[in-house]
Amino acid sequence: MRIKRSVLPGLALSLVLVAGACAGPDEDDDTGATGTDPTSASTPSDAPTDEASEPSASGAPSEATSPAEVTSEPAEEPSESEAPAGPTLDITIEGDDISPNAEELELGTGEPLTLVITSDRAGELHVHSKPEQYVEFDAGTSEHELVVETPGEVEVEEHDSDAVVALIEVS
Amino acid sequence: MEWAHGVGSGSDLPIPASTAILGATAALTISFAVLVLAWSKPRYQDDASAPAAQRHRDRPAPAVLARLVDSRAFAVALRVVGLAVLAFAVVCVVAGEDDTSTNPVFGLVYVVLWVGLVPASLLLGPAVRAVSPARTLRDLLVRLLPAERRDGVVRLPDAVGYWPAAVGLVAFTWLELVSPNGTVLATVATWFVGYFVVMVGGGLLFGERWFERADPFEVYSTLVAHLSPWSRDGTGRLVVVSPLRHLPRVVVRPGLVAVVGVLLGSTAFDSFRDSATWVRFRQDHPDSITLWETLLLVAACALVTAVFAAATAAPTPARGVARRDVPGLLAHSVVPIVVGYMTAHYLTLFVETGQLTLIQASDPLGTGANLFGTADRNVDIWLSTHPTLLASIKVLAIVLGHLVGVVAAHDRALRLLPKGRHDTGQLPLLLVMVAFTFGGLYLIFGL
Repeated sequence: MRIKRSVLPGLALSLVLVAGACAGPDEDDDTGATGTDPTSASTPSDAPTDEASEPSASGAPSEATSPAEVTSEPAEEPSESEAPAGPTLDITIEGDDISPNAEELELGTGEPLTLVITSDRAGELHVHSKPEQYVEFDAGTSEHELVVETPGEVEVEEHDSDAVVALIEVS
Repeated sequence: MEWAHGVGSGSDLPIPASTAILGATAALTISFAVLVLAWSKPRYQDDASAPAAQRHRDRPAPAVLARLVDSRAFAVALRVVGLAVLAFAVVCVVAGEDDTSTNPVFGLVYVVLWVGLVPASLLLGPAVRAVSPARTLRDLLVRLLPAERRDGVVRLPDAVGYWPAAVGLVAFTWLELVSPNGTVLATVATWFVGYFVVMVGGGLLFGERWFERADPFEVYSTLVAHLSPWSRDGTGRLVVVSPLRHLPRVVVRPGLVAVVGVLLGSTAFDSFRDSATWVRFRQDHPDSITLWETLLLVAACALVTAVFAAATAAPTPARGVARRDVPGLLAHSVVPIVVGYMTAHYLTLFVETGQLTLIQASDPLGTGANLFGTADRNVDIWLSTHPTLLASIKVLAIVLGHLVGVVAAHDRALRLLPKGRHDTGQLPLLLVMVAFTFGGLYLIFGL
């Protein structure tokens, strides 16, 4: 019995070590399986074109969805606004080519995110927040404001292609 | 509208690092405490082989309750409810829109059935067994047969065990998590046609035992029900029992380790596939993603099963215990870990998409109907707006599941291991449990 007691701390230590060793391969497995290179996956989207950087000049209408109205059509607001100060997400849609590929963003609840969408067609973004929000856009470059009030992981999906352009961690 | 994974909109924040560390520390401490300080004689040994005298601590359920539960009217009423829900789902499939935002059938399958069976079985006992429409259909069809053929015409070999259920669970989680058409009516309907053909056909062929070994939902539900306070004693009397005494009564059959391995592995896969890294990989490989995810799902289930079997088969068992039987005899200890992880993983989905399903169910065909008076309600997202509370519940569920699992494993190990090896012999098992708990916290912590 005595021997066993003295052995126990040693065992405890080895348990911790092996537990660590166990966690190691698991992680490796995961990253190995996801494979590929995260760098290429998260390539920053192409910088918005010149028109995009001058929203006031182009006078493109800005559409904003209110988080309170789930299915309501986005309220149209004339954009005489100055350049966006807060976080911005640039989305480019060219045929089947949609970027970025699941870009990760962090956002506070109630903090507006400016979406700058450059598209060769009209379409709709589905924002899988609670409640759901929909952002309609036209062909060309347009600017929209997105506000999420409920904390969580929010997927932003281009509806026609089901492409996830962003994963926003709202907290 | 497309729902990226089964049903449900948005997902929870990853749990904060501090909470995860707290949970992991608790798990480790509990494990050591149980190993070093806990009892050295079995307390809960109460499997089928235990003498009836050991069950003396079971308290009879209140007589009124027992009479109600044992009455034929009650049993028939539950079967009618099961059939009614099936009929409702069939109408939704046939006449409803192929749209997750209006058709309640997706929520019925992925939330009410798949997730709901956990709390139902935890609180009420083997719920699926009681309502299973597959059982009811078989019971009705069997009346057409001569009496001597009613309990099957072929004896299902004992070696088959729970393996059909393990396969069925992989098939269902594949439909939910991997199938590109998991939220397309035709796919879901086809899956369930297959399910009913296999279940009712097997029930006619092998008799009632087929359902308790092959029905993925019933096997899952009956396992979870071993953490409920409701049991039956040797005479079939309804008794109230502590979950810790109830759990060791899980009936051990071949394939039990695989069943718990699939339950844990598939949920781990589900957490993993929501990670940003995997979403990007999926979008970069649209043509081969179904193959990748199929392989990964099967690999996750096989890995959990194999790791558990390897760790528990390692020690030399006590005399009278066959080495290859040890993993199965310890597999019940994974059930609370599964329940803890399922709670953490599905809580918001159950509460919030569950509400949505009830709302949709009032107007299943988009005709403006309000069958249950819920059509005009809104989903209450109170839980989502309290992320700290939510993270705490998740970690608590995982740690509590771990605690019950370690206790159950320790208690059983005392009987399976030779005297003098009670400490060291448990180490590999303890290690695996800590690894499962760490894995769960890690995945919910966010990759």
